[in-house]
Amino acid sequence: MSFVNMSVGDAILQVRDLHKIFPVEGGRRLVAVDGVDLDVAAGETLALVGESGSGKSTVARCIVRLIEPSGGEVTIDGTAIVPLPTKRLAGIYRRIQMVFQDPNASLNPRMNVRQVLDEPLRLHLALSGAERAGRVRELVEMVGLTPAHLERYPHELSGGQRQRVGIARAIAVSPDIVILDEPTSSLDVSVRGQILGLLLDLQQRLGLAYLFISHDLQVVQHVADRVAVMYLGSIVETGPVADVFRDPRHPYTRALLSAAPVAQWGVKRTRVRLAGEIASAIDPPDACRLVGRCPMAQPSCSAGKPSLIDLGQAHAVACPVVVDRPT
Amino acid sequence: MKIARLPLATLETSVVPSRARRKPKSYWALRIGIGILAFYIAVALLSLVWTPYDPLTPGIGDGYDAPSLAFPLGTDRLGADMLSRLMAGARYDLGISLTAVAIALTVGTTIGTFAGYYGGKVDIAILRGVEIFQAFPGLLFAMLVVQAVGAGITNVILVLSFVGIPDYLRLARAEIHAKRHWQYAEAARMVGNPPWRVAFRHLLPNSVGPVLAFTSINAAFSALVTASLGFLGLGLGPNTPEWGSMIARGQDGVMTGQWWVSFFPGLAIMGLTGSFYLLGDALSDITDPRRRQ
Repeated sequence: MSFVNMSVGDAILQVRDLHKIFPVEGGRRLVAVDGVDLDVAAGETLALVGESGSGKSTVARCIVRLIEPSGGEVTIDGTAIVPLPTKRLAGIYRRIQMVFQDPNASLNPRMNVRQVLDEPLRLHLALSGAERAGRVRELVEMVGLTPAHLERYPHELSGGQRQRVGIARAIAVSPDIVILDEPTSSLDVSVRGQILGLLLDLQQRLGLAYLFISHDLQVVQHVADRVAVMYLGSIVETGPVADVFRDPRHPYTRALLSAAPVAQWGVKRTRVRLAGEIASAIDPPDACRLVGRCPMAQPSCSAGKPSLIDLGQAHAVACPVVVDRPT
Repeated sequence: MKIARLPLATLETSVVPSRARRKPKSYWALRIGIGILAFYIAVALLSLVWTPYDPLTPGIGDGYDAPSLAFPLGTDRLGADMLSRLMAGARYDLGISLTAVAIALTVGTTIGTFAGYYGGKVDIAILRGVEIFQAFPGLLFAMLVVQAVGAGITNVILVLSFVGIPDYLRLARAEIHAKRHWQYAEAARMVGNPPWRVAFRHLLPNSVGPVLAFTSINAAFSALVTASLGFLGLGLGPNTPEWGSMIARGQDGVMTGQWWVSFFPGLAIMGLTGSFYLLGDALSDITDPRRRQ
């Protein structure tokens, strides 16, 4: 397949041809991630969007090896994460960190905030006890908590405070890139904005790159520089957020964007509707994954899975039909 | 128009799930259990420095002396003081069962944590082996082994702990296996913890509830098996003041009216196992996460 360079500037995280196949009963294969390429430049935010079951969380977990990818390469600033012997993974986690979706589940109920934040420092950095204590206090304040929270256990914190602890843990060892796996979707609407604001603020102060996994298009539009749209394990469209949201090209992206509510009086938009449900990822045929649901499907769509086609300005789409036909 | 009243009382009790009612009960059982156990431990320690008479010396009384001021719990067939023997027996029965439990707990939980965290073929092999072993009744196994390898405190302790290991192993394995993909385990890996630290520092402390609750059940079982081995004359030397063997020595007296020789050791065993069961009940209540916080 021809690779389209999607990044602006030098990539800190490179993902090439990532695959994850789960064996299912009866010798069949569930293709959860099917040849994903991603680039994230230093200091930028790439949003990976898609509906549940599209494989976006699997991509995130494969990148950091929480699950073992079936194939592909992942490098961070030139250093390989995939493939890499499991024993050497710990060193990689100084460069790349993750904020989990549910801060309630991702914090050990028997460790207080100080212990949670001290652990990565102890495991990665050669600091004295006093230096670590200072760093822990600094971290707590960076994420908008106070030293009074240090002795609290997760069940003594609110959902928003817990996620702040999760964020502090992720930035404790000053990584280059943080994967945000739907960091606000389990939070109350009232605190989502604060957490997003905190993430943007930290990105500016620390020069972090984010890989932002989300299904919330409004949030993505607000925080991301570039966006990659996933459907059934493949990226169907990618480009700068402004371009993709203003001029979505792939039929799936159009359907996804037109399904989001518009918060503006009098604005009407034509819904692009797809037929049926998301297709099965078990033993997929060598064809466009959208072929059974797409209003624009052509006979050629069943002959081979389309790869991304460069449209210029870092915008690329995996649909020859829309490229050949001007909109 | 009538306004439907909210059933406030029902609402409140459903919001605060019966914790208020259950907690005093568990503490009640816990206090009594700890109280009895503390008494046994105190007696065992005291017997190291003081008993009314020497527990090993026969002929202090005439034999089968009924309880009196001189011999509060009477004497046995050979005229040894029952109270002194009972006090010294606490050392044996308590010491053997608690040591066996400690060994079984440590070894079983460690192996179970490894098996549960790593899974795979080793895990399956360990589980199958444990299942085969558990097909034998624990007491029967203990009897056979003690008979085969010979008597002695060390052998009895080792056999008892061996019998206990599979239960701890399975409990710890099940807990760790269920939790190893929980997000805080994944988060712990991403923080840079090596696998053994994820398993022992992060998962195990969150999994000890059922294991600890089982500890006291296992202690009760161990105390019973210790006494059973003594009663059958297996395990410890013939004159050892172990409660089970003391019951055996008093068997004949029961038929002829000298009830105290078997009765008091039996009472001691009952009190000890009873206190363990009370503790186990209270601990499983307290460590149940649904009843905390």
